[in-house]
Amino acid sequence: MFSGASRLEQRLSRAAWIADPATPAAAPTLASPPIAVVTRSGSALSLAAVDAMAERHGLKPGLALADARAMVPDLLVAPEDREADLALLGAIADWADRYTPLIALDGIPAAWSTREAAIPPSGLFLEIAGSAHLFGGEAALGADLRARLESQGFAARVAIAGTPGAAWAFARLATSQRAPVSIVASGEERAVLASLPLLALRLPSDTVAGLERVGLKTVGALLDQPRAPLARRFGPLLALRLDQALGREEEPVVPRRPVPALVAERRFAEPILSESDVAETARSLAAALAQTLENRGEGARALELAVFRVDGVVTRVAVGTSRPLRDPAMIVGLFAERLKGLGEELDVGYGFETVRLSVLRAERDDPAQVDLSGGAEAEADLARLIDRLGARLGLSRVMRVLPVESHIPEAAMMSVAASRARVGGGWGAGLEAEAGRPQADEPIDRPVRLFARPEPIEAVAEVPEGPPIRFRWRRALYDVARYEGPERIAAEWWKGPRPTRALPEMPETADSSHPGTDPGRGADETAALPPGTPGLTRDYFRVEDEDGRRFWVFREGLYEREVARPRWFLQGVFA
Amino acid sequence: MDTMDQATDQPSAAHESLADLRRRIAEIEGRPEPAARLDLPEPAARFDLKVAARESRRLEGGALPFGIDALDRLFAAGGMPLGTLHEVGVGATREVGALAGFTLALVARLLSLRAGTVLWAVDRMSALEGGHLYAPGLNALGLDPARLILVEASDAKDILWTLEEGLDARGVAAVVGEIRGSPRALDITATRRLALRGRAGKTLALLLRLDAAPTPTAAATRWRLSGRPSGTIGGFGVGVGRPAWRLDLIKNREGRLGGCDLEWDHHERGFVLSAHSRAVSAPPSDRSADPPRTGQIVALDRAS
Repeated sequence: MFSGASRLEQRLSRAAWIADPATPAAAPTLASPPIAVVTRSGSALSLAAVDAMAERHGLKPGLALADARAMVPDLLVAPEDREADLALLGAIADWADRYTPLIALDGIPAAWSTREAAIPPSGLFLEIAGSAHLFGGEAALGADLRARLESQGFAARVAIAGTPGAAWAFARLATSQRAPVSIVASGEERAVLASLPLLALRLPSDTVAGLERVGLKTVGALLDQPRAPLARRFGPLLALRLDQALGREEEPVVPRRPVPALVAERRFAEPILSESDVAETARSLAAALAQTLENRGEGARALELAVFRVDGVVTRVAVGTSRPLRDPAMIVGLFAERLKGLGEELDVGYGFETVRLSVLRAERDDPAQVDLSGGAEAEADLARLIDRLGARLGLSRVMRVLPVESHIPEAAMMSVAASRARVGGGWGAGLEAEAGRPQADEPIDRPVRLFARPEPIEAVAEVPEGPPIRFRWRRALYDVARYEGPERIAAEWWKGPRPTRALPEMPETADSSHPGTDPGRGADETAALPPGTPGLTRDYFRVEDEDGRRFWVFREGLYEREVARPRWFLQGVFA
Repeated sequence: MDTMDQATDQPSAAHESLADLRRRIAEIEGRPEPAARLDLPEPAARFDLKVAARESRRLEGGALPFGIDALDRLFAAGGMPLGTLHEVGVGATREVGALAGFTLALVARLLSLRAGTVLWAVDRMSALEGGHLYAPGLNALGLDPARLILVEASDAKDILWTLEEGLDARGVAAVVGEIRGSPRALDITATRRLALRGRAGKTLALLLRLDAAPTPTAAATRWRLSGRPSGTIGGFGVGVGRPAWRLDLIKNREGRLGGCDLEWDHHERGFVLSAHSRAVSAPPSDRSADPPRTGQIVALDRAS
């Protein structure tokens, strides 16, 4: 609900971003030269933003660079870099995470302003209704925010109001150098809005021009008008913006990062300097979270540890688990493994001032029955092993294999992260399932190792459908002593029509002295078609050479029915 | 085929004190005691209940029996000792099929005797060079792919760490690490740590070396494997038959050296010696009448 909600909006003057972070931008001295950011509009360069010093000299955004230089000869210019600005705003948003997790950039997406492109964000929305009390009230939070930003070299303007629309307006138009923080109690927005120009409403410029032509120049004037004719003439966006500013229409702050289910955090008066302190803090935070999780009957599936450094850098480490987890020691162990796996140490710098542990996703964790046979314990142990391996190496690198219904060999098996797979089997050759055991005289028809991309080989074989007699793979020649096959695996014809492909004519080589054979070359094009591509039939052969090496090779394409010259590939090796 | 034969322990004063000394050193180092050499009786039938019972007893005792005397006799415990590190190597990358196949067969044998999963760690290079494990192939060999957990590590150090972690977990019956070449991380200290970690448990720990120069490691045994022309399946002489390998034990800290020619029976999930192949019958008439090729024809041996 809206009552009591406060929004805090800060606007950063863009010129301040190129100022040297070491020097506080709030008090420019006469010694520092004026700085401006230029952008190219058409063929001329014009000023996009100016700093306080330049403003004192009378420069304003929009002025042409040539004129500006004439007025202020020693002007320093820097080219505009929108992406860097956006990245910096994102970094500030991440830093401001210490105040509240609900942070959004305040840009206007293109969908709203129908004739203009999107307005890029130049500030942040922070929803502080739930966290203002932790900082001693809204005023204290606003002052703290502004002071910290200033110490990092940014000139910030902060406004706290009951709606994002109002806060946006106040931050840009109701604050000034001397009073950079403005707080408007909920209920008084209308009074303050009334005196602001139309710019406060985030309307497209043609609407603003139209309103000014009619004589409506302030928000107050708009509010006095009857709504219906305005909406008819200028569109529904106008009404929407008015309602959003006044709080009649809801405008949610969509947070940039997923909001965690549970958060435990500790702030230090003196920054902590060692990693073991961080680990100790994380352990006690995990213990606090474990209690809450237990009360709810849940366990954590995804966790994030965030450490905030005094100079504003935030480091986040995330781990996932395969089963709901509550044990603090194991949670801290997973983070330790993750850090080792990432290979980087926590860069302490001047110290950490806040450590926060969040549970991003929790799941029901029913208390397990004590299993006398020990089977459940073994399973739990296995899950913990998977978590530890996944924390260090990456959860996607610890896999189980699942069967897939497909007769294309490459596609018959799928590997999924072990943390997500439930062991079910489905392969048929289980320990208990006698029916699934291979029969005594059933041939071993699939190789133990498969190449994801079948490797092209040069094979000598009888046409049209004979087995290979000799083939060359990876520069070694193999003579086939025994073979079995062919096993014909046609393409999945239900997936589409077959292409007709004719390979270019191959030159005759000396090897084709054997009558009736046809050397198939496979080396021109890159690998075989990906599985499922409608097209060529494969004839698989299990071949064995004189030394006892067993391979799985196939001929791709039926001779003269599908391709002019079939190619040969090697796809696997047998035991 | 035993190539070396160590001296038997004849009781005599000098030998007794030597045996005592050996035992004390073994205790200090934490190796299992080299017990007196067992004389294993010939099994009456190939697969029967008594043999199965004896095998599971030996498994409780900490050894995985091959089921083949020529190999089981090489170890005092009557089988491949669990809780120590073993190394299996092949000469060239093209033998990767034989290496993977033998290891999978061994693991399938272990998993048919006890519950648990197998943890298989590969490094990215060996996956690129030799392909990845293919689950339908495992199924065809007799190993249920649902009992496999595959770990893809980026280098040898991570593989060794994965194996160490796997040795501690209770639900894991075997850990296998596949390493290509001779990376520096695979040295005596790292493997010794791995061997010590597994000492308390009964997990089979195997290190597969692909295309590696012989480097010193702390493995208790080292095997050399190569492929051999296959045996027959179902009595057909033409065609690719059962997987067959030549296995040589070239280093054994707790027993003798030896080797044999081996085949894998995927139905019974056991190893057989190659000489025990079934009689060959004529190829059936529906096979195409190809001109006779230079293939192997397995000679008629004893009828079974």
